Amino acid sequence: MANSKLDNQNSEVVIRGKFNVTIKPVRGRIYVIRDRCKGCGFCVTFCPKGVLELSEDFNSKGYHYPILKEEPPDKICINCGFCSLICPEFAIFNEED
Amino acid sequence: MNPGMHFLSGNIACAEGAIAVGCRFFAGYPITPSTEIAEHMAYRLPQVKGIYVQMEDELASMAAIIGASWGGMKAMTATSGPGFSLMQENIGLAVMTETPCVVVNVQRGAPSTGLPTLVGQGDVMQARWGSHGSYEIIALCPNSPQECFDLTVRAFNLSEKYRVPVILLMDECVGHMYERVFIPEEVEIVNRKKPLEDKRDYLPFLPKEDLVPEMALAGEGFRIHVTGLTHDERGYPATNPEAHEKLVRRLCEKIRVNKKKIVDYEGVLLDDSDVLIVAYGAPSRTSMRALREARKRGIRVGLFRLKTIWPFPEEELRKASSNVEHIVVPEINYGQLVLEVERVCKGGEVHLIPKMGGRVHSPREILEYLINLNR
Amino acid sequence: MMQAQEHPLEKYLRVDRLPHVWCPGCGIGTVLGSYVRAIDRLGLDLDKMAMVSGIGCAGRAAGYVNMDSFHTTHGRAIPFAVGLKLAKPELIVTVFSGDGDLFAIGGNHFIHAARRNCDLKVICVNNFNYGMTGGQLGPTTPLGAKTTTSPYGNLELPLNLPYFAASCGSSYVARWTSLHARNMIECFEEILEKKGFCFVEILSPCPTVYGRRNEMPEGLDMMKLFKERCEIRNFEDTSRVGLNQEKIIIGKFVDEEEKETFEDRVYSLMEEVKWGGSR
Repeated sequence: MANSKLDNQNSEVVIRGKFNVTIKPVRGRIYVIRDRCKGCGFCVTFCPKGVLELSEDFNSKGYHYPILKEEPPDKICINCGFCSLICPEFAIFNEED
Repeated sequence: MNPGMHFLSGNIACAEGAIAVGCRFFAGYPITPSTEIAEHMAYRLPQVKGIYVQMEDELASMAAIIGASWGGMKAMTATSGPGFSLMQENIGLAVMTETPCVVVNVQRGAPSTGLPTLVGQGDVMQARWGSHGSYEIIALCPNSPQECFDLTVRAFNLSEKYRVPVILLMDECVGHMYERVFIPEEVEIVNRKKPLEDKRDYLPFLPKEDLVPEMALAGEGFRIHVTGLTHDERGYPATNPEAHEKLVRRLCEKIRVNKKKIVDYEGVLLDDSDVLIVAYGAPSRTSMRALREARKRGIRVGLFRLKTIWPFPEEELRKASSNVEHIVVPEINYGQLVLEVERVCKGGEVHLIPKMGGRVHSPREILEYLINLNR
Repeated sequence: MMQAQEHPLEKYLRVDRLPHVWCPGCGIGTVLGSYVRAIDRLGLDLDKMAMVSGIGCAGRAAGYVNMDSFHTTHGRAIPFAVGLKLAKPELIVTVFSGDGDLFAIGGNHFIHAARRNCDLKVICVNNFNYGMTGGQLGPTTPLGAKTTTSPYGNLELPLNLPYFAASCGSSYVARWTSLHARNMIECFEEILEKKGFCFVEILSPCPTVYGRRNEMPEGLDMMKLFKERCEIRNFEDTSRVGLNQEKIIIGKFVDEEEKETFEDRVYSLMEEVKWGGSR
């Protein structure tokens, strides 16, 4: 029977069993082109992990652009890329960390 | 068609002229009395590796020829009054995007459905002002099948040179008349200027010294953007008064400054006339007979026959009419060409001989009018 | 989180014209994003592509793609594209326009291009009204909806676009929404590779002029509605996908085998007819 343990969200998952397997979970890095954002909120609402929120700060057009939430290990970007796909403005994109 | 002498109708001669000068795309919609042009093109274009498409209406026809022109083919459509009205919006698009193309209008009795099978000349002003806004356009008017051939060739060459749609204003009488047409071995062919710059430096709407920009085509890697919105030299929308002023002025000036090279007319006995007939198309033919008969009776008549109606040959007509007492304008409408004649001619009384449509002025009618003038 | 100045897809866009004109919460940008991602995934040569658009918000897309693009008159994008494709058949020609432009004033042209099987990729962004001009009713406005020209509620019934396209002979018919960004990419990849007349309807929010008058003032409101009510039913009978139901049915409805296009027939005629000399 395999055992899996999350040492912590930021590093590897180790499964001990007949074969010892180490899986590194995919993590993403988010980039925002602030001045293109129009504050529509699509990325924030549709992120499956809910890692984004609109900032208090605003860009040169007066819109609040997205930033990463500062929250406990629960909210981690898994590099799914949906924020990038759903953004109508070409204002946000992701890269594997 | 083999070079040499042929017996053709005006419509067929027009189609053959187009093919001779390199037209390889025709998109049209059948409408009497221009349908023969479409039918002949449908038959001939595949023979010369050209394309005939019958579109679903005249609006589509005009749009398709603009698209084909941007794809690199010399393109033409043919219609009559009602279809010409439908094409106006896209004629405006062709003017604004400086797309070379030729629109043949074989005029018939109008307004509205009018007299589909009978002659008219009621689209003179529409050819000039039919689309919205300020612009200049070129309109040629043949009066014989030979001229239908020759002026269609000229129409394409002018449209390529000045990057403007050119209207070939025929009438049903000239379109359906059969006469000898001489087809030469070769005709002069003018092609649109191609960009010389590197792709990264090319600006699609930057005019050269003759006020005409070089034209890149779709699919050549220039990544052009073409829009009917007011645009700047990059072709991008620039919907502000300054850009609009600059663009519209240039679109008009490129024709105006080159007027002398564009206007064409035939003068008969101009130096020695008291009475001048100003006409184009079918009535100009019957006017010639009236002129000869009048001369026999001692009336000194001359004829100023327009071969280009737009731009209007103002200077040339002003000069020709400077010493005459009367100017007579026979036209098959209730007064369109006569308005330009009145505007331009300062000496001499201007008289309109109108016919509403359906029939050409007979030589006798014109002759009697000329005789009565002198009383 | 990093700040960036450049987006990875910029080679497909006229970057000097960004940010684009579309409103916050408008879905057209997402459609455009999926379109350029499809081109990217297929590795297509931008020099061999052209976009033709009409008048309206969706029509502005032609001004943002880095390929030969033509922003033509209202309703006439399709016949322009027909002419362009015939003159340069090696180009992949996409028509990118809106519901009013393609189906009201342009409806007739749609019928005949589909009927002929012209090799065009038609992407229709359906925002249920005429957005650019302030939110008037259009051929896809739902019955009862409030628009500036139906202040008491729309009295007309909307057109079922996939059904219409299929009956005109379109060989590929699909409907997605701005929310379904991934499905859009796959769909666009399919149509860019498929020969023949292809039609895709993309439902999109229009918060500023349509949504605001119909209790969906934010783009997110309609996007959430898509999330709740959409159901993917591929190959569903298009007569059953009208939008007057509880479920918004999306998916790929028609994907016929490739057949001869209009351009094929025109060009093979040229081959067959030999220069015949004088008539």
